Amino acid sequence: MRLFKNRIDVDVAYYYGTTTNQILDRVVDQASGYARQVINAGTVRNMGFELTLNTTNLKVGDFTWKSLITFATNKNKIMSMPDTSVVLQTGPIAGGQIVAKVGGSMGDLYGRGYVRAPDGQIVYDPVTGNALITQDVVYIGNTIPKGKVSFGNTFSYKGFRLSALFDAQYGAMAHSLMHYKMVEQGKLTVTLPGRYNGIIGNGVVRNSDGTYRPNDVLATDIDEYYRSHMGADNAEGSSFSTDFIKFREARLDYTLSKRMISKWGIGQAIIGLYGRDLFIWSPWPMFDPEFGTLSGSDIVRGFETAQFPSTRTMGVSLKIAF
Amino acid sequence: MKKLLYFLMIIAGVSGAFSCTRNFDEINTNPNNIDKVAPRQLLPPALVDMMNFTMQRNRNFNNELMQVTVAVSDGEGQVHRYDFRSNWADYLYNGLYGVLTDIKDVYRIASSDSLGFKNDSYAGISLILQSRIYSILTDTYGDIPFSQSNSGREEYGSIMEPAFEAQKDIYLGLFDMLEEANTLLAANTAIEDVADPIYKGNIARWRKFGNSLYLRLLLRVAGKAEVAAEARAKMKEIVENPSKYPIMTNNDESAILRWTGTGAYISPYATVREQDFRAPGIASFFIDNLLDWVDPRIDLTYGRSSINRFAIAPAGGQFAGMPSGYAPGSNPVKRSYFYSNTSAYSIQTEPWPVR
Repeated sequence: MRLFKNRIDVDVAYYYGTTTNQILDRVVDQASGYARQVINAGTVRNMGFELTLNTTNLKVGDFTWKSLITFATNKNKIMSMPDTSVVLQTGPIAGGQIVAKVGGSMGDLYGRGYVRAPDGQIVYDPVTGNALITQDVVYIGNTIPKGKVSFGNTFSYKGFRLSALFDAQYGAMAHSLMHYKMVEQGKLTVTLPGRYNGIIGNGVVRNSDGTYRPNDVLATDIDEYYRSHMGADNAEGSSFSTDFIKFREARLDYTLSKRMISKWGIGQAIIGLYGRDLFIWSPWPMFDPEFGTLSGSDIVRGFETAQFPSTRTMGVSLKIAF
Repeated sequence: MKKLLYFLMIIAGVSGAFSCTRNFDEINTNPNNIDKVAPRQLLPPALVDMMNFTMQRNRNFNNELMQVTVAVSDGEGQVHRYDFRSNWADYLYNGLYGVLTDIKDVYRIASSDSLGFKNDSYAGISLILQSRIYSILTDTYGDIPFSQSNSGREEYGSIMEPAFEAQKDIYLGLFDMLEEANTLLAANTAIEDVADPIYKGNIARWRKFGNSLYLRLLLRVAGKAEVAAEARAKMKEIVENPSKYPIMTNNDESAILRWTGTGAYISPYATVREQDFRAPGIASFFIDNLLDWVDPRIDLTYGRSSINRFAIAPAGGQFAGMPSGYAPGSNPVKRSYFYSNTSAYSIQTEPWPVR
């Protein structure tokens, strides 16, 4: 839809769909002879909203400023399942699993987490001062993002053109294997506090009569203390939000004037500088929150396993047309 | 012109729809795949897997639990302090039922008249191995799925939630299996010796293994009031009838899977980091008992290059252990430990070579 003499171009979509008989690969009792079974199961409801907005903000003489904004959000809910819960994927440690439960959403991440007092604070062990970890798995978060946004601007003046594109995602989280490994080896600065004098964790301790008091136990075995928080047995402690804002792309182009280049028989020449994946602002600690992990023949999200840092690309481009 | 283009596109689309499913079955079948598997292909990997699971379980769990080794750590989740999570039980259950799928397939293929691999010896060997694995499973877990287990495939009934049976019925079922194995192996049908890393195709020895296993399982229930009378009568029958029930009579007839280091026969401990293999200390309960009994396995005169047969390192010139289940913070000293493959001989690769 265009408005205002083509200066605003709007595209809006709203969708609501119900998918039945998903093809799911679920974990079964190994006594049947097999570890997994492909089944048709479940009813899943997806509803979402997508918006694309192209605007020409300013047109003054030879100067133009255009913007592009896209926004997409999706809400996913599992309406019915044949069993109360189906384990779709298991992660490498601490009982991390992706579970489909009625009322939940596809991509729900479960794993062992902190034992918490009724008011939500972490409970510590009264003897060692380490955090207590649950025996069963608890809900940690969802691995599929709730929304994605992108925002791009293009400025042109005579032969010059400058464009910048930003991407953002919010609402998802994932488990980081590399973080837990580095914590266990003491390589992260987050494991520095307490190495010389011990540390009192931020939380509560359970009294023998069932009430809680603020934690006053000094943990001196720092290795075990940080392992109890972010090590192999605690999936909640090594799961982080994968929200990000990325400076995805920047370009500066100059189109050489026709007079100059027609002498050499060239129809069009554009020279430019560009950069891609320039900056990431994200609470995700282990490099890049946009990752996928190979699992057999699938690529799954939600479990980061020894990811490499992603690369930034910068260069010069020359485009010539005859 | 445009109309002609649309017309051609429609014709192309429609004819494409017809050719979509024609010859689908032929095109989708891979002519290079083997669609029928022989028992000789299933048996060796199943044997290696079976030993892998039980050996790994031993090192990681059983040894700690039964006070053979002690992990030197003050942390949570140490087995020797009986602090372990309920999901530690999964490993052996999942592992051994997976192995049973292949071993039961050996029986099903070798007893089927239509598949072309009929062989009573493979069927008998499969029954002996099934008895061994089911006996390990039921001794560990009590009531387990037995007659309905490993029937997930469509042709066996698609049973994804097999029913659990009482341990007593399972033991009686195992006795029936071993009787049938004894009969099948009596025919002495030959098998390929590459398929048999344990006895190299010697069927008489498999029969002895089966009947000795039968004796062992009967002994296990000989004290149970409900079946004691039958069990003891059967034991008497086996021992008194060596022609009908041949049993093992000397060490050469032992059933041992050798980790020769070639092909798939590599010990599961070979991939353990050698510092991790040496890390647990040996428990004083284990070592002190061996010293009291004057056990030849720690006696250096029976060893080689001053390493005894258990490949246990002495501490300060003698064998000594550390307490199992010590309280965190008491910091006992680690004394004897198992040698790793940095030493001349160790149980990390092959315990004792064939003479």
